[in-house]
Amino acid sequence: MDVEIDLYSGRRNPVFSLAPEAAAELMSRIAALPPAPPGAAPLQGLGYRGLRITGGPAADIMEIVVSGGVVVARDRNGAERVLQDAGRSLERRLADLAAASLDPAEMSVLRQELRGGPETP
Amino acid sequence: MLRITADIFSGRPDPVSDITDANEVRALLREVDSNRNLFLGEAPAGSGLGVRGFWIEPLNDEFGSEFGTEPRLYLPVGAQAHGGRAAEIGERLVTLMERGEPAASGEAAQPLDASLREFLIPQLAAPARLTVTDRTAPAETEAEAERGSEEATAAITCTIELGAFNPGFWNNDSTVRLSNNCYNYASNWRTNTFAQPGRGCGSMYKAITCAEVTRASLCDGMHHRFDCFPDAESPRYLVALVIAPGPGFVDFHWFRKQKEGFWGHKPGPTDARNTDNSGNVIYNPETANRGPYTVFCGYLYGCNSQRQRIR
Repeated sequence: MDVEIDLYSGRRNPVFSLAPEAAAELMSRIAALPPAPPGAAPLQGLGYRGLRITGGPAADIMEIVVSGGVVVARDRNGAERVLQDAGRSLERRLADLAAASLDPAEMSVLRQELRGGPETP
Repeated sequence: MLRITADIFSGRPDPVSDITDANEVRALLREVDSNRNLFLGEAPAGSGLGVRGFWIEPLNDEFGSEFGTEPRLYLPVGAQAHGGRAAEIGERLVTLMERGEPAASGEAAQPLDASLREFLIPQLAAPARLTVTDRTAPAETEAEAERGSEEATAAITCTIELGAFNPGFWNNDSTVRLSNNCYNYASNWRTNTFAQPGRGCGSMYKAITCAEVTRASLCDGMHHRFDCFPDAESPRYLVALVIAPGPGFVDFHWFRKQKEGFWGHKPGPTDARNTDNSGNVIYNPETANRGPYTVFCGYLYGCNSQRQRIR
């Protein structure tokens, strides 16, 4: 299972792989998420936009976007479920998992985004 | 009864057709009423050669309340159209004209038949691209004048193209969306390689700075703004380069000017759009909310050989 940190526009985004145990934990957490309130949508535009997960064990899921308190799971037929990630806890968990394989500067950007303000040293 | 006149010819009488079927007239008037913004009271001046539009006019007072106060209405089409539905309504008018009666008062006007229809239909839609003149702003020349430049009073002009905003091309297919970035969008060329400035010419940027990304783009074949390309290099798009300087977040991004007057862009693997980070339509990439891309590097022109070179 690969996780892409959706940051950049011109450059390729950084990608890391999840270990099978982490992938299983992620899928079980996603399965327990409630539906998001109407109008909830992932972050868009220039800058950090969230994390995009592909290659999951569920054959029917094409991609999962974890972004700004919302999780969007799209299947291969184009149908999507929009779920609520209260307190961005799933996003933070993925960011923790990214720390081992991400460039420290990019990791700093990610932590700053999830903190919602400038990172304290 | 309703009369439709196709505004096509310059020297010959235009085709005119009378629609006598009351149901068809009412259906058309309902469509006119719900798309009133596409119609004018008069034909615009200087609409050029080829099909310019259609006049519709009731010939009696039976449809007065449905038609409104104007004695006749004009539907501009093609480059002069006031909206995308003008072409659709124009096509409906052509079909009605074919089925209608050639107007008795016309002086040997050509009837609207199948051959004329084939000529008309492709011209109804607005062209996908506009050719315009890009001119140095007066302020620039005045500033140069103050500095005493001898060439200051002569504005520099280049002929460029502006493409129609068509985000569906980039967004509808997930492979196209995920595999093409802002440089693909600015170049209007899908490579599915997440194109990088300079990679196509064998000299990719070595740092993400205005100077280096500009150098790499020029190597691919772009020109600085007002360094004109010849017509053979059409389409010559006006694009803008910005940089996210960091620390931490270091990247480049491109915008492309569209024929609708705004700027389009594609943030990495996400949807192409014409709005900034505040959700506002981008009319000026220098002042748009660009998130971390805070450095505005400048404007360049793309061209046909450049876009085919990008990798």
